[in-house]
Amino acid sequence: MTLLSVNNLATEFNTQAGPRRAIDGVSFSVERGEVLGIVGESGSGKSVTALSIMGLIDPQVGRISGGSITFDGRDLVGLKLAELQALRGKRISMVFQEPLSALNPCFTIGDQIGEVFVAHGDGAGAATRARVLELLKLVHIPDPEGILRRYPHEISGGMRQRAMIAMALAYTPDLLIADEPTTALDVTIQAQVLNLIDRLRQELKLAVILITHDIGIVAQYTDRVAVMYGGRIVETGPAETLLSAPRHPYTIGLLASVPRLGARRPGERLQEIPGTVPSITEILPGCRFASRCAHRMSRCDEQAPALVERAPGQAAACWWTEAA
Amino acid sequence: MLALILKKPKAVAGLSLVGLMLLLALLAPWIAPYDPLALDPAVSNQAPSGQFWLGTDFFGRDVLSRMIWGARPSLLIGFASVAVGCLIGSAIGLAAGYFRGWVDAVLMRPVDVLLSFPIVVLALALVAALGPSLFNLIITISLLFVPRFARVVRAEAMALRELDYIDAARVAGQRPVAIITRHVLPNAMAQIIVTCTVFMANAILVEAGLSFLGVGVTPPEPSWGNMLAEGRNNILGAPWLTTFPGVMLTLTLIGFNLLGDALRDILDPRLRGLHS
Repeated sequence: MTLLSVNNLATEFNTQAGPRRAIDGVSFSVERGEVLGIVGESGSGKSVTALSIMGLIDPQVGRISGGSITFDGRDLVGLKLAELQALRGKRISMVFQEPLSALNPCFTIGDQIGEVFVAHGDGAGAATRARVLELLKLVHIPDPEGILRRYPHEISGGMRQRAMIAMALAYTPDLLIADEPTTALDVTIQAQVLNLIDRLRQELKLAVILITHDIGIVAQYTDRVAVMYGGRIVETGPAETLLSAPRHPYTIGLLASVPRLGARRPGERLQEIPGTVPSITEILPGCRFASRCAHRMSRCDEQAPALVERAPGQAAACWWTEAA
Repeated sequence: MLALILKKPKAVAGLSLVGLMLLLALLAPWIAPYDPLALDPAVSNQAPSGQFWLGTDFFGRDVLSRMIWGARPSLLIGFASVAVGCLIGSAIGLAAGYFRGWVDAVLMRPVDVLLSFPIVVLALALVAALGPSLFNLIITISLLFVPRFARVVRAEAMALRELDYIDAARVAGQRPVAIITRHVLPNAMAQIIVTCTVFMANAILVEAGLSFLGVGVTPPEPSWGNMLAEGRNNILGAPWLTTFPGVMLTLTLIGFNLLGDALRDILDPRLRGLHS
């Protein structure tokens, strides 16, 4: 059975011009033991999608305005806070982008991970301490007894991110959402952390949503990919076919803008996608990528394209692809 | 922490002044040369001398002894009312700043109303309604500081709630009360401590003001405020009556302000080492 299925999700935020949708009509699903990659530029709605699933949209500034998030047969939208709290940290966990700011500077790593057990009613006794130690070993932290007593600022970025992952795994969740888990890390540490997540997925049968702006990571660590642009999924499909045969001009552009050694002749410029992601206040009726697209047609400005299957399991939302 | 304090001249000065006043207040029965309440018409209005170091007042009471004893109500009221004000005000501020929305509106509206009254007017009204006693003074001055603490702590909580580790705590399934007490409060502590120190000076000043106006510590019990009031009529003939309590009050306020200032520098990592 599908573990998580997001259907037609829309999340809006208050702007000076009234509520505006930051994500609109986002649908995807994740199975147990599968890694779904969500790729896109800053402002494409990847993080808003993650925060919506976790129920972390601050009611002061925004809300989920439509769609459903079905987790293990239950709709998370409109769930009571107490019910959500019982799921968070236990069945759904999240790892943040910047481990230094995601760890409370006032607590040692050990106390901080122990907090998760305290939050779910397991107390802070010797048993919890032993479990924390076990978690630190699980994420391959050298000298776990020493790290237990350290404060976040006393350990390296890679260790901090491992500690964050250990915290997220406290109760062996079914779903792990990793929001750009390696953006703040050195490249060498990046690979270690991603390999760790991959190993844990296999060992613990985790479903993982890996959010990233690095399409190179997607190729290596995900089974399926959803490419987001302007709050919508513009293309989705198995990682292999999507990356080798992208159908949406945006995905094509993203892949072309990845620097590759030897692929370029001297003096040749790296491909870029002109322009920037539209802000949520300046969204027009047509395709949101139209203003930056090389294949723009009159239809693109009038009507938003829907996701249509182009190859087995691979779908793109593009008029140009459809016409081709 | 202590090492950091000792490295800062400002902190050392503040701490010494505050410590000196605390010692005077605590040791009053042993170090005061005379009974602060003992009347002796034979030595009325004497200038400072070898016998009475700081002179005597109209009733022949020793000014030095009264001044030492006067430190007690000032510091006691200062500490107690700041403690109560801090406890209640911080709780309000934390809840309002963390939850925002209607909780914020409900909690902060009364706070805004209290803040819109001038301190002395509100204090006079409250003491007049409650009647002057040490306990009522503490209640009154606490009530003055509750809204001020609430404002400061709310601002801090509002800033902290946006941080990633608060989201991380929510993601881990922690309840709001646990997040506030375990994550927001410890990180707001530095700000709260500094605010306490600075408000302590204010509280002592308010106490002195109320005593001066005759609604604070009631004579014959000495307090710096009522000593100033009693000496005021003869300020030219017997300047020692007003000068010394005034100096004590000033030194205490300077002490607390210096300490607060230094603590802010020490506890705020952004300012650490900037001006040592």
